[in-house]
Amino acid sequence: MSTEMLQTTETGTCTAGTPGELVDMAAWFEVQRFLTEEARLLDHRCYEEWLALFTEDMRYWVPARKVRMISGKPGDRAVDLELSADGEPCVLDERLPQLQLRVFRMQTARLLWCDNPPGRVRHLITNVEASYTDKPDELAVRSNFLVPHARFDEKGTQFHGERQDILRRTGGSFKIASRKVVLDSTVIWSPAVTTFF
Amino acid sequence: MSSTISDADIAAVIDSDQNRLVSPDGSRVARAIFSSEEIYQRELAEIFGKCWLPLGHESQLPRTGSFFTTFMGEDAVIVSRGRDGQIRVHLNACSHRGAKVCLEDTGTANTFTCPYHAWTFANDGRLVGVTFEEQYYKNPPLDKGKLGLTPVAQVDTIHGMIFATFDPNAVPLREALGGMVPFLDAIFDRREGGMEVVGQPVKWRIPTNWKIYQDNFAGDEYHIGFTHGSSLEAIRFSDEQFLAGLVHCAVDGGHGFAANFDPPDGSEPYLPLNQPVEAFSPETREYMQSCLAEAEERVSAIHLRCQLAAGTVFPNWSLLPIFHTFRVCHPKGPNEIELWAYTFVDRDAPEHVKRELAGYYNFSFGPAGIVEQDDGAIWESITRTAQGTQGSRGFSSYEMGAGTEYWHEGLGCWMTDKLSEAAQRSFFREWSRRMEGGK
Ligand code: FES
Ligand SMILES: [Fe+2]
Repeated sequence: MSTEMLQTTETGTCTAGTPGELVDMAAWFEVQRFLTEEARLLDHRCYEEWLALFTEDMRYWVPARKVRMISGKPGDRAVDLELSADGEPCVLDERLPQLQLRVFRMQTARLLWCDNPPGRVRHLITNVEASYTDKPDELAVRSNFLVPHARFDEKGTQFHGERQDILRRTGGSFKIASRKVVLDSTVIWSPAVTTFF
Repeated sequence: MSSTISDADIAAVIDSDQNRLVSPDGSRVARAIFSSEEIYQRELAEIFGKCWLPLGHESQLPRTGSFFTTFMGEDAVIVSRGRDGQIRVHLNACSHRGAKVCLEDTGTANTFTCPYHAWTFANDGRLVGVTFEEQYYKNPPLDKGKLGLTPVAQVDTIHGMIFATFDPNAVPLREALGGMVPFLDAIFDRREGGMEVVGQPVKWRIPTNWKIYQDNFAGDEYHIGFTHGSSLEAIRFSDEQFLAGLVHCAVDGGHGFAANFDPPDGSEPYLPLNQPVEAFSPETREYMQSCLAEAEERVSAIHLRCQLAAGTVFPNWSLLPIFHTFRVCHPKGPNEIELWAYTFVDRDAPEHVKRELAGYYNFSFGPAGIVEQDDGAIWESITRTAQGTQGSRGFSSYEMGAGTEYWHEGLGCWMTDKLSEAAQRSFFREWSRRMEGGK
């Protein structure tokens, strides 16, 4: 896997624009390419390279979700109202040191019972929308994911939901400064979440 | 699903000392009980239909009208706080035709309206509204007083933890918990304000039998160094050192746990809640130290120094206080469980301490925890073995340290001084007793 693939040219497209506005076609293409390549790194189990896509101050957060009735009140349909609040129990809430430990652990293959033999996984990333933020070097990016995961001889399970990323321009490439993963299920129908979204 | 167990096999639990599903000392357990549909149905009646079951914590019901939904066995229930402040538990099933009346995990409501024909129930269970009652229920009239939501037989709490049972003849909760009570005091009653549950439980499914999970939590420290070898390597945790400091406790009633035991002879200082304190900030460490004096005053000294590492309260409550979590294991058929993992903290702890303690859990435990990830597939494979025609005829061994349990007067439980399977034997003996109808 060549990391050059993830680079954009120094003269690459601009990440600055009116906050909230969708980026232009060239920037969107860069984002799309970045996310596709990231997905391939995960599908091909290149965890070390995947980890290198995050900034030092990154956060990777997968809130828990609950079943909630909505009222007719404006705003009451908001998905966020179903998600665990910041600091409440969740599926994952990690900074770089924790993710590094996870990836380090995956190198101890001999004893990695949760993923050896490894699960087989596909990250299908769609509906990519990128918009400018109030920071000139950051884009807010949303994407949908469908992640079928199979292990042993079993038919496996599917994870799906939405990712809300902050991508930061560093040099000629992007890095992920933050990712919030909104799962669609309130119960995780899997004995273990061993992939990343 | 293949199941080779017959009525005769079930009868063998009762009738014969040979070929029993569980040997008298609990050290030999028929694999069939981990997959049989017949056994499972009997468990729903004899165990989940009769035992006190954990439902959640009072702090999840902060005001009148607060409710949450959960399960007792496979029955959906609503746990609600009425206008009088009392906590009640009802089947989440309309008295008209049985539709679910409460469709959310948690919330606040004075009434629940059934989505089918809109009968309305107060949060204390009374039927307070019947649609078109005037027009269509005049003759014959409807006896609304008899058509409330079905209440469970008994509800009680200990340290705010809510329990209920479907059995009107069940002994009181504290009696059922018996020798576990002082150990629960040492976890949940260390401070005046007690503890509170943070947010909602995290839920996940594992295709395994519920007893395989509970037996693991009761006392399977044996597997840690191997099943979780990669995590231990990553966090440089010495399994041998950990095991060397462990005792196993079996509490009458099928409860059991592993513990770190430093008898209170004054020679050893002990850590608050057995925390790996280096994992926390100085502020949090200081908080934990500062609570010790209060705990000493409130809790029996010897129980405070027998710190539960991981344990099972019969039948389906598991405790992992080091990581500030307890779990409820909901059976979903003989080959499936849904785990609900709750996070708890001292109610009166400063906010930043609460947050740090609550956040400590996720990295290691839960469906994505680097420790817990490893267990699920192994437990699933045990269930699959027990589904095989030959596999279901086999037996599982719980023989480690069999017969070495001795009664510890001060702690009020059976104990082995080192690693053993005493807690699991205790769990299966109680299972067997219950399946025989409680004799
Ligand atoms: S089933 Fe509830 S009102 Fe008819
Ligand atoms: Fe384990």
